[in-house]
Amino acid sequence: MVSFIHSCTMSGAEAEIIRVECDMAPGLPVISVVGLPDAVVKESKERLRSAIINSGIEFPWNRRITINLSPAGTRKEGTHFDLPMALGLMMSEYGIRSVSGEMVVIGELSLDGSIIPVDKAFPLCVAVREKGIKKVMLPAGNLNETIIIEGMEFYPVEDFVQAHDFIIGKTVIEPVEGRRCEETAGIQKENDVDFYEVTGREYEKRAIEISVGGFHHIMFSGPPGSGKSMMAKRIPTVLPEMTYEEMLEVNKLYRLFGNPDRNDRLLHKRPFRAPGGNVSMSALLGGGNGIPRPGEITLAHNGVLFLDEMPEFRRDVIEALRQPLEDEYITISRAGGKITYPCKFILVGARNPCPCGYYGDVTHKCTCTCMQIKRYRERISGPIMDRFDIVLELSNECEGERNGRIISSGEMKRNICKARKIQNERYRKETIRFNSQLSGRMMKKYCNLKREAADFYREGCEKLGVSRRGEDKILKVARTVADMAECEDIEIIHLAEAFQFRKRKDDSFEI
Amino acid sequence: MKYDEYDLWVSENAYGRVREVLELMEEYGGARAIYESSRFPKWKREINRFSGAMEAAEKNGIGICGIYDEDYPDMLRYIDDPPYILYYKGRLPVENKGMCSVVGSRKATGYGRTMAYDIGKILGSHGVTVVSGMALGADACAHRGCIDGGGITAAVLGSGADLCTPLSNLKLRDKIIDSGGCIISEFTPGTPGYAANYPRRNRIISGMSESLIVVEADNKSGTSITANLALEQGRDVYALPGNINSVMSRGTNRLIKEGAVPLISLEDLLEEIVPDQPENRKCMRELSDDEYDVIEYVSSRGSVSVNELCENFVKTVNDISVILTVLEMKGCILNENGKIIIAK
Repeated sequence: MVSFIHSCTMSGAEAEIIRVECDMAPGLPVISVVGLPDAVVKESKERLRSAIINSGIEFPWNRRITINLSPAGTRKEGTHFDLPMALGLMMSEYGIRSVSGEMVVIGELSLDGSIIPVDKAFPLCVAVREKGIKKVMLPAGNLNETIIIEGMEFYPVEDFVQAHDFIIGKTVIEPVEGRRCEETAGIQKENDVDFYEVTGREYEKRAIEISVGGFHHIMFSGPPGSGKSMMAKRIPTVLPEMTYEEMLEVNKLYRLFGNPDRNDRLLHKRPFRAPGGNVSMSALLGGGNGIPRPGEITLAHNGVLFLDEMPEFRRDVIEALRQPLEDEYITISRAGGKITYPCKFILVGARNPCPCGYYGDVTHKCTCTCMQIKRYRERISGPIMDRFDIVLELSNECEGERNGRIISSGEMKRNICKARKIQNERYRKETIRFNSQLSGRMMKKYCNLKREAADFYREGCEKLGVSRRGEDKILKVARTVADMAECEDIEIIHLAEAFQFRKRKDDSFEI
Repeated sequence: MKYDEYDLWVSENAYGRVREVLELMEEYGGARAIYESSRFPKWKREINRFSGAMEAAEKNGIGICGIYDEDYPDMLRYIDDPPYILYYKGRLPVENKGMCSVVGSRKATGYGRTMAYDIGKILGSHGVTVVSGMALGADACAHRGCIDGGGITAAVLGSGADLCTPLSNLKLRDKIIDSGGCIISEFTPGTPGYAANYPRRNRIISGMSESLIVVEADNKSGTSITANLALEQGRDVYALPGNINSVMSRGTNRLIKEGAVPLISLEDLLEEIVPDQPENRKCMRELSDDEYDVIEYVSSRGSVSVNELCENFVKTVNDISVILTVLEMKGCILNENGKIIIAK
């Protein structure tokens, strides 16, 4: 008799539902596992035999047992196949064809028959939920981390007997419903930094506000000490709260590999990743031996990726960002498989104006040759530079009295949330969510300019020597500026402000 | 052809002892005779190189002009060690309305570059030939300004006249020649732009005209060398004053301290160098009150950042940004490396 029971495996960030098929025929007591199991899954036949016997359940000794993990072409890995395989085996013995209702079973068996928690329970449950499956049988030890996944029904099991009795209908397990935990949403660690501490930098703060508000990539260019890193460090304080779904997705990605401490708090803040200049291609984009792991860009999903001293990164690493920046996902092909991870992040770049750092600074002498400066600037290629909607040139500020109002992170965050809310509303029926994602066609629809504004826009682009691609960027940024001001139409003042954030022509070394 | 490879050979070796060489020429009656006399055993006798250079000159349309020729720049003839031969591409300038050399740092700031351009343009539009070195930065701006002003400009190179140093100024070089100007060099065609060539080139830049304008320079830079050479040659040296904090104005401010004439307005330039009718440079296009205030403030400070403006006028970044964009569109200001400066 053949039995079927469902389990799952991770393929990248997505779950793949695996049907565990078990068949028995009279013969010598051999268990063979087929369907591309990895070493861990193959070993599980030894575990499940002992576990079943030690649970006091009769093991079918005079049977040749074949277990197939379907679809057979997908690689399976992980210890969580123990439980579904053991259950399938017993179902086959009893002649139960399948479990009623769609249920996914995960769990690792100990030799004494107890069920021990598995590493990937959280990402598996989140991914299973994305597939629309609600019921999951899982080790009781994993319940405390997965309980916050809303809309799920968990069947926690302590040992094999419990699971076995439930499957054959002898006992009932009361399902535990996953629910959003209010207290977890509430715990926001107080930030120890704030934009309020940054005085005399209202221009840069405004640029950050617009960047985060409309999901625009931003580049800071300035001499050492002009506050590039200081400002970037404070960006997390103005990022809007993650929605519940975003929180699940981010935590899923973080727990895909590693994170052995299952009692670890969930991440509630948007990720802010700042890899160093020596980051390798696979650390940044994802990769590594075996099944490709998510890289920094995936860990920055829904958050911010900050690349300080961008020209110091390896050039090929920076160039490799082109495709993920465009598509918002990354596909990694390795011997271990072809995997796609999401990576939607705001790219914050920083660089010096020249190798020594002081070109254009009034207080220090720049010691670089013109050729060095030219080469340094070329290290970030045109196509990458083009991805930055906002390019900000910073200078070392002179100390002076501060008359103006100092905006705090809280205020900035409020403005940002306001703009994001408007965008969410506007793009409800589109595939995009932010102004920076507007395509040419959508721009015609959502960035319509009234007559005077259109004249101003055209005149500005012409007089200020803005390139074609630059024109689009200005319009997108202006859209965000208008959203911040809660204006439906883009007006001249919004355009005028957006013009200030454009990349200026760098002609000093071309004439 | 008036000159042969032996003349080129003499010229290559004449630097630093031109007067002596000229006497010898009289004595021997020609360059070839000097060559054959073996009077200077230390001079390299690779005459084949010079026949090659002759061919290269002909192929590249490079003219040769000796010190006794009529079109040899007049002022240059009377410096201490004039080049024996000048190679040129294009047309040598005729000194109808005088010549003026404009030099500045390759790493000139936006201020230096715009001023070099403006000076070049004013001189060019008044018929003064602008002489400079075609280097990146200020030099290139001066050439460009002169061409845009409809003038004739001469670029003196530190390499052979057939080469373009720096290569990135190739377009500018063609523009200089097309607009009736010329490329000048005392180096045999094919000579690369060695660093050691530049002081030699600089003496020609300052030597060709009666006045030299230094736009921006740091202490101990090539530009400062040119200024010192000009003083030795008895030229009028003008220097553009700058912010004393600015590295690029240290050299020019020091020149002023040492006695160079400060060029405190472009009107001065017209009065002192071009004795023609002055032209009003400031065309205050209809500016709003706010815009006018910003312009006033920027000109009072030299260069300011957006943050300083916000604080001074107690306005939000949005308001200031709007004013700045409009001013940029009107061509009144420039934003350079995060600092706002007056464009004109």
